[in-house]
Amino acid sequence: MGYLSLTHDQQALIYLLHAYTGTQTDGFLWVKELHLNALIYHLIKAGVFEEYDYAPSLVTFHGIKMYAKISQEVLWDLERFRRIGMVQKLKLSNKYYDDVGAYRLHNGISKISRFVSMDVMNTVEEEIGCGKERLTVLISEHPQRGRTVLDAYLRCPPEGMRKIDFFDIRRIAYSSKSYLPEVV
Amino acid sequence: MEAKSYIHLLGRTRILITEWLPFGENTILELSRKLETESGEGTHSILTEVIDPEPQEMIFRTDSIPTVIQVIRSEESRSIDFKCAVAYSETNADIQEEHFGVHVDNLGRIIYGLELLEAGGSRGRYSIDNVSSVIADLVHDSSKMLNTVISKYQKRLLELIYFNEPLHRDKFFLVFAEGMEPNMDDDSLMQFLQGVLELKQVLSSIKTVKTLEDGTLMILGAQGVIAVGENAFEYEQVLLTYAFMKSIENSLENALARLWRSWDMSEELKDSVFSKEGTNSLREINRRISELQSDVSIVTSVFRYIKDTLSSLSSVILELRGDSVYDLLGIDGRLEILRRRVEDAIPVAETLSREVEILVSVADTLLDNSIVKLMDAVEENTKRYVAIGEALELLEVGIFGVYAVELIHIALQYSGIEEDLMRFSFLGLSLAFWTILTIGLGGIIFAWYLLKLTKKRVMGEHGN
Repeated sequence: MGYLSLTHDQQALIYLLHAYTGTQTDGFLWVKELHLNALIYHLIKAGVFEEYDYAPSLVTFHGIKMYAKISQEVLWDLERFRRIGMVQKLKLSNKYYDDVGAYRLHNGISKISRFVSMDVMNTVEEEIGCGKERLTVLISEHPQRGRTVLDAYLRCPPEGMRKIDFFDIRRIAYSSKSYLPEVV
Repeated sequence: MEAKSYIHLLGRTRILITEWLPFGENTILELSRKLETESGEGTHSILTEVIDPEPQEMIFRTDSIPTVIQVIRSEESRSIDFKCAVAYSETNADIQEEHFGVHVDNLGRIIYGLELLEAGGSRGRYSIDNVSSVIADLVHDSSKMLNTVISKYQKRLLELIYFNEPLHRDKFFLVFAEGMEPNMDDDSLMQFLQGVLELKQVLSSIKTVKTLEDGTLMILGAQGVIAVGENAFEYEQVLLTYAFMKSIENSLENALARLWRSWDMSEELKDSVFSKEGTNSLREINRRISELQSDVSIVTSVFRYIKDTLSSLSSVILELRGDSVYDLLGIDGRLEILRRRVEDAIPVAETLSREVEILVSVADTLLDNSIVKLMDAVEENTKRYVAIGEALELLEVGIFGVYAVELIHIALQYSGIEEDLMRFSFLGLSLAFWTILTIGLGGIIFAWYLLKLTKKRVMGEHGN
């Protein structure tokens, strides 16, 4: 399969997994699903992904349910890559009994340049590069007005951490009137 | 060096292992969710039993990919069939390519199955020793694999009834092969001492050896069954039912062992409750009683689950009546015995449950009494400390009085007033003497009054 059969965004997604999981020589590295979604949200906003979109979806982390800006196209593509064996998904759990999914590029894909063009690699690398390391996402919880909420941070070791609005759902103005179905 | 093997299984050789674990409809649904059956058949899931140590971090690291599961088919809330590839270092993953199928259903039936492709370097001819090694591996690895998919309740239950050694739990197995070397009928096999000994290594003890009308040789043992012959696979269903009943029997025996152990523990704790003194030991006893209460509740739930499973099994068994092996295996009798044993176990467990409840209330009451006694002692001690404190205060005031007298004395001396006062006398003593005496006594009386007042207030507050 040459890179021409993958769209720009699919190539960027594959390269992203390669960047975070494909370099370890001993053991296996996995990117956790929620963190990956947060990073992808940041990359969509940064213009790395051209067609992927995001919308509020309910997620669970540490037993806390919150809406986050999730790209369904990404999840769909990951599932497709998983079916053809390019991507592996690990199921693990944490002490809060959350089922956590984590992804990695299959070891069999040794030559990433067969799938991803140099342009895409450079575009992604430019955004996730962070000195000698790479940008990572940290998700933490904190109390806010009597409940515990989640925050996502981008961490770049030389620059420190900065919060992203991954969990801040846009409010829209609307008006409504009450309605009840007559059948009840 | 491997021992010489006298018996070899020939042709297609399959191993099935069964066990029973409570799997209600909710647990099956939970498992479906975990294995993502909604994604469709063929989806691979990689599972690990490692708990994420740093959930807030983006990257998770594993040393290997130990369990890969692929769903074959699923029936919502009833059953799931999946393929499994495992690689556990402790069972020589480097020299094995271990794939097996798993069936889980809401009867609590778990079947692990594999067909040998090669063992010990040979294909289609497997020594009993090698088959035995494969069974041992499959028993261990299937337990380890199952640990990655079952719920917390099921894990706790397994730990409880297998005395914290759930990975090494015994399972019943079935071995099917198309032929056997040497080719013997049941009589000659029983006379073939070496062969019998070798089979005993696998089956533990041999109960029955019988050649059926179609030539299938059935060797029934305490831990498994070996069926040999071209038609052996046709007995799969009836043998699986038998194996499942043996698995239930195994779980029942282990649960009963835990029940008897719990009875012993309740007796030990009862003795401890009445003999031990002190709040700390009572607290420890209370903690152990709470653990016992939880254990008893889980064991009781096992008996109830088994009872439900046996009721559901009756309809499955009806379809098997008439099978030529059915009577040989004594399925009806075995089911009846199992039913009676469970019926017998439930009231015993319920009685223990009540015993433990009584023990809980006795221990709670004793702990309460002990706390009351402790509080009384603390109160008494407090009063004593208050009295000592007051005495010390009195002493301090007295000392202060002495210093005050000394201060007045020095002040009078250095101000020159003392000499003036020395000129006047009363009752033959100088006015300076009377001044110092009056101030000294006045201070002591004032201090005495002050302390009396304080003590009265403190004691009054403590009910005296």
